[in-house]
Amino acid sequence: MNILMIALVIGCTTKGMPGSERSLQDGSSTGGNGLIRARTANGIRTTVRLQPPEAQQGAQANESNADSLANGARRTSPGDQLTFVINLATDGEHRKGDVMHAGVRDVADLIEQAYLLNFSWEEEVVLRCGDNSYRPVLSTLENTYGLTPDRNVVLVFAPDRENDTAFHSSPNLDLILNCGQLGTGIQHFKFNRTSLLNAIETTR
Amino acid sequence: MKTTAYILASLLTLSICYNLWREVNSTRLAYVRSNDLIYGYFGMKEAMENYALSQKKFTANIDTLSSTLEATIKQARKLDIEKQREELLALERTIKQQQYDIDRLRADATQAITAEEQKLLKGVLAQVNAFVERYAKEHAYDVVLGTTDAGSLMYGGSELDITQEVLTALNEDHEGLVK
Repeated sequence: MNILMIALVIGCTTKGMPGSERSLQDGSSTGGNGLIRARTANGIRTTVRLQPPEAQQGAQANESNADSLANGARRTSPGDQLTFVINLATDGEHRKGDVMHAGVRDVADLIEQAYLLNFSWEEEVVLRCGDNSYRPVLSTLENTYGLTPDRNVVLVFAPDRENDTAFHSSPNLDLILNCGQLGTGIQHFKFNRTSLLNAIETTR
Repeated sequence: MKTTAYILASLLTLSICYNLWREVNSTRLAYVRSNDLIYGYFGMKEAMENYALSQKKFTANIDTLSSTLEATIKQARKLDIEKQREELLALERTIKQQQYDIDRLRADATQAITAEEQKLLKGVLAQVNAFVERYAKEHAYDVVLGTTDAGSLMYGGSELDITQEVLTALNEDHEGLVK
């Protein structure tokens, strides 16, 4: 009886165990396959998905096959490049509505924001593979004005030279996003290459 | 025996009621030392490094132009005022133009550096604020105060100071430690 009482008293006096460190860590990494990472700052939720190359091959096969490449240009296959899809959305709590309007005060701001979010990704994103850093060779912001409040940005990275071992075999991939326009600061989205390889295996 | 049981049962009931009342009415409060949190944050250190780099980038042209200006002045000093008057006047015009270019570049650089600093600081503060909010929710804090040197909090017991644990979790989050 006394033991029961003591247990009950202790149970009542001890505050409920708050969320564990583990669950907090998960705030910056979602998705069971390790290919999705998310962060929130300044009312903007940024979700980054590392796209397995296999998923792109089908899409590329359907594209018109413009074989004529400019002199000196090098065609890369999906296996040679890394593709990330960044989803930008308001968090619904601190900011609501269309992400393109986030922090915008007037038309001039909106024009500047639209311009920067369309054309400045090469300056604001770096992919770090081991000791090497890479800027995107291709970036595109989807145009869904008025249809969805969020936007997807596709970023493609490819090394300048062939057989770049850091790019192709570095175990850790760190996508560093410094989006000054949305005021989210320097954010790291870290991926493990094993997750990518696992995803490729699964899709085969 | 029966009496003891009654006393124990009453004590138990009282204790449960008291703790339930306390749980409902208590506000879980903590504070963080804002400066220590922000300056100990890896994201802030990274932002400072970026700031130093951009400062270097913006002032690189000024350094080059300053060297050119110094060279022009040296060249002008070597000339004879009486015999090479025309050349001297031409160099004077060049020096004025170079000085004007440097002043203009310096003003532009100052403006750009200030904008860059504000952009970086804004990002860091947004990240820290978002994290503290998430941390408070995860750890069931109702209020987390941020103290400053200006004295926003006059006194707080050290048991309420969660700066170190928030900083550790914040840095782990920034590093994106995948477990």
